[in-house]
Amino acid sequence: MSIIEEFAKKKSKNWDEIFNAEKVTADNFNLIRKQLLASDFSLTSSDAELVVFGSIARNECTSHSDVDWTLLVDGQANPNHLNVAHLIEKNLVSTGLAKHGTSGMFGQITFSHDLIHYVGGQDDTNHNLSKRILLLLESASITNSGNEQGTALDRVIRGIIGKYIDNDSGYAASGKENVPRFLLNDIIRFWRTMCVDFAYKQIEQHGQKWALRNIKLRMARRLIFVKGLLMCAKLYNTQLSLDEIKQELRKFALMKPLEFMVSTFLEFNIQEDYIVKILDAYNSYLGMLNDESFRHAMSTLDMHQAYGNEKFEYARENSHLFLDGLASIFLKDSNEIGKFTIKYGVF
Amino acid sequence: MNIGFSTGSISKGDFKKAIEILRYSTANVIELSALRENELENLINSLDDLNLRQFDYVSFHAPSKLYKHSEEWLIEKLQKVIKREINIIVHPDIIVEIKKWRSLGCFLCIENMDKRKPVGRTSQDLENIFSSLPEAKFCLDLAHARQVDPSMTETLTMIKKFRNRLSQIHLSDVNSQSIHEPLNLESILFYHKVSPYIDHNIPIVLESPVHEENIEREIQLAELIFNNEKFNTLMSSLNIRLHSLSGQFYEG
Repeated sequence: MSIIEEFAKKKSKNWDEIFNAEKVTADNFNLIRKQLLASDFSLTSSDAELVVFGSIARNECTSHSDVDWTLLVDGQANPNHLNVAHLIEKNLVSTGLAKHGTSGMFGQITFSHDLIHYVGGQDDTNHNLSKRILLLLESASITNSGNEQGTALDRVIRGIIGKYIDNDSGYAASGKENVPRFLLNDIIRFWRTMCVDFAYKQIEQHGQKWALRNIKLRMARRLIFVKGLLMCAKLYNTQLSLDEIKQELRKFALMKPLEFMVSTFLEFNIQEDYIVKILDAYNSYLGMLNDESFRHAMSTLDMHQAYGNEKFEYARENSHLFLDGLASIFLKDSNEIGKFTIKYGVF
Repeated sequence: MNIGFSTGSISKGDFKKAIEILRYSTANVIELSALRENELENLINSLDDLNLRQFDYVSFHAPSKLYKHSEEWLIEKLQKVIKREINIIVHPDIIVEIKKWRSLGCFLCIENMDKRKPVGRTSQDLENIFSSLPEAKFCLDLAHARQVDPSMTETLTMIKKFRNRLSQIHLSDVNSQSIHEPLNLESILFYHKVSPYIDHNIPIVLESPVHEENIEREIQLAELIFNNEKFNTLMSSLNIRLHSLSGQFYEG
């Protein structure tokens, strides 16, 4: 039984949209594996791996979810990676879970070198930053073709975490109250980048799908930012060694955002009413995404008509409940998460 | 086709167990592996007792590194193997005094190396070695060659240059850490590119580390590389069109 299921039982709640999304996600995973691994052998060596992001990686698929994917290469580049990537695309498209030629960020090959070496600086593009942080916050392996050296995904996650922790000057001064600031700053930068990109897409795409993106930004995107903050908050004032911190972060990275959030709140003895409020709102959000008429309405709604549209307003108000719940935790100094956020989250 | 396994791939350090497992497979080729120095004497001393009747081709893999013993010691031990008239696969980086290896005559079979090794990686390296070992044969490790040159040009050059010496193929994938792995789509695409230039009667020794239940599947994948019809069927079933203009080299 998952932590959320246990908590639901304790609070006599039925977050059926959350639990249904887990089932849909499992079905989607099975469908992709069946389609891609039908021939019963791996697509690549352990140097590469099919990695997914987004709702499927968060365990939050609804009936209309698509799949954001990349062929993550952590090893010698070779010309057949492209053939394998094309095969993946064709087969994912045939499942109906992906589209041809999606935007530059997903649906292609990603090399570990850029993710690990270009943290900050001119070469750390929006795509590079996003993929790097998404690997820590919401990523999952489809093929899991690892050996004793681990999977490509696991190696890259370890490499990224190592980069942040080994180069964190704050940790160099031992015995001091501290947090992984290098990582925290990049997670905050990623969240703000998502917010700025929201406005960028609004301009570039003339407001197309603005309402749907707006609701997702308020909920799912905010959720993964929360996961990132909590990953750092859990290491606030820790007595762990640097190696132990890296192990902990790796463990956190593998956890689903919603599950990680709830377990962390419970660990920090957060008032349960706040957690219920947050989960109620998130459950409603997933229900809305699962509703074809809602998705269609949000996909076609003109941004100038959104404020005043009944469905949009309902989703917006729901997002306020979600945010209120989070603010009750993160912006109050009555708990350790709040103390951490107030001290490190803004300045 | 002549396809089988290296005993080391089936059961590391336990050739008897590997032979027993392969007895129940369709493998008709076997390479007795003493890749580690401490495995050598036991394997050589057991040669008379091994039941290898089901295998049409048998070869022997010499240790890849010597820690305790000398080159002379190894060559002397291998004399017992050549009396059985079987090919002995040798990594060129273990060779120090090349003339001494001539005593293994036409049973000495030099293998091309992966990127970790200082010698034997390219056709030019191998040409230098073979110039001092006129009788020696050649074991083409397709995974090593692919790792050194992913364009497969070096592989093709080796095949063409050493066609008359080519006696067996090593087949598997290797990752960037040079660890052998089972065949996969990526490696199949590479090897199929050069397969038309390899005599299909040449024995194929799989070095893929596989569990017992996957032995037959690995043999089938190996067959597929050398069989255009099966390869094309797979490509259609996977709904794949190769990115390159031609999946194979043009003769020229």
